[in-house]
Amino acid sequence: MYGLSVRTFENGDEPAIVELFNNIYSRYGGFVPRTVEYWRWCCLERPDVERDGVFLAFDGERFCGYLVAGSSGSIWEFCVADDDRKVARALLGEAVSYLEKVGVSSVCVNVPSGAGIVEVLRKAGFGEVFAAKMFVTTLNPATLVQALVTPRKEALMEKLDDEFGVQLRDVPYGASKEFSVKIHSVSAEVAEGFPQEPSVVVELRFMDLLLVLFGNSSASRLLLTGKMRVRPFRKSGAVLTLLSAIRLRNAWFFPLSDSF
Amino acid sequence: MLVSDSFICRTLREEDEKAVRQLVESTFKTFSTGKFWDWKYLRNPKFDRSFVAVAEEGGKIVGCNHWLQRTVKLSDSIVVDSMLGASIAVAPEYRKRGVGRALIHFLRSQHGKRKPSLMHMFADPELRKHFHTPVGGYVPAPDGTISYMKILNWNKIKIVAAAFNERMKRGDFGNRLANVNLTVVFKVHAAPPLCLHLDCGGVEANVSTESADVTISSDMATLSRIKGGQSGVRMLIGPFLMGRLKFRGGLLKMLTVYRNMWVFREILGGKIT
Repeated sequence: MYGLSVRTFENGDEPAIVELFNNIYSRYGGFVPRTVEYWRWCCLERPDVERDGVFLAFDGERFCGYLVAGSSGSIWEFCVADDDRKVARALLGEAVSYLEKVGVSSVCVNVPSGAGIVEVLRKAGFGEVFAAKMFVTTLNPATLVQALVTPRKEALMEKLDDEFGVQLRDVPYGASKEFSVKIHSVSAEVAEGFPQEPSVVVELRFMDLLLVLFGNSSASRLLLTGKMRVRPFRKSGAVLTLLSAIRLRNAWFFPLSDSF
Repeated sequence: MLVSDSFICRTLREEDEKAVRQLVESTFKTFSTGKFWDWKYLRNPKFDRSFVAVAEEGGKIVGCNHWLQRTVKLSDSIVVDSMLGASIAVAPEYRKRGVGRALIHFLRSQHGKRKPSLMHMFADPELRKHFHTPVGGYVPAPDGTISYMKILNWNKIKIVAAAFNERMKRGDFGNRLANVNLTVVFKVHAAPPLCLHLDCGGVEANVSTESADVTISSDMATLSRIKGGQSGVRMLIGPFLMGRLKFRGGLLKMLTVYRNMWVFREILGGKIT
């Protein structure tokens, strides 16, 4: 530490802020990756945000955190490099003083569970609240599965050599009911529609597929409880390998600025 | 265009903006500043009028549903185009007539060919269970976010109490508080103590906490659940058994609190901070 200092926003700070946000949350999913244009709109131009409510922390010359506070009492973004509690305390202190000065009655903030900031908030007298949650769905299961298959293509091509035809039940209005996943030694492709001669047919509820892909349910449990049917049954292992490889494992975090 | 028995669904036109803004502002408190809708939609770099649906009956806008294009990170290496489902609002007199469902179906059918790989939204889990899941097939996203709050003062409660007392004077509540003389202190973690005194004159907020007949202690999560309308006795049993909700005071006074629960709902039920 060369000495911690906090100042308010100045024009030209945006690229450093965006870079810090994207770096700090790189291991999380669930948020909008920041660009300067998006950050300007979602923080700086927000009706309740003044430049005096955007605080940047520096350790000597090094930019190490920022916080965006709005006069509605929302801390829209709170980002601290290396989970440094000293930096978090300094930014939070400035923000709460600012919010008291502008006359807010309460302060709320979203943080990733398990982050060091959580302890700082608790010590500063904050309490956990029941708040809006994030929910997901799709209109096109094939493109969603394609997005999940692509980064794991190499591993899947080594393990599998099958054409899966997936039929979904209880599909919500407007969403596709069928798709195929074709994995061979040289390619892994996902397409809408049911394949002509699939080597494996998988049948499950639309929502069960989503629950597996987003890590809320396990494919083996669906298979054991009969909620997912695989034909021929001997190919169940291949289906479990596929679903296990593409299911999301990252924790998801969304700052308040993404949710309103 | 989607035609129902009494209303039609179509995409937003420039001339609808004023009516839609008013409808959204009257439905959601967060939009009450008057600039919020313009910022969220019109000034959004990715705003597209064709992703906003309105329900119209006899030239009147009775409902709207907004979609916003976004990119969302699914994991450390996967980023996809997504559609944020936001600000679905229906005029009070048109609720429970299928307007919300029709608006969602309209946007889903309009953009069927583009079919975004992901759609997401932020909602109260109860509303999601009863509306968004049956209509749109929404499931919970992986949960790694915690919301924290600190109440700095109860200034808004004093304003709410003053408005309640005005309604008392007008006779809106009859003589329901005629024989009541009760002081209740709320001790909520992450908030200063709040004391409410109830008598025939109405409610006084922030009187001395020493004279409390009943003290109710809870954490912020329990308070926000009660505020969120989940204040049935069954819902309170869990936090009570887990020690997150505590009552202290004489049995008769506690019964008086129970009988006058409607007052606390009036005072604490709306926006309190």
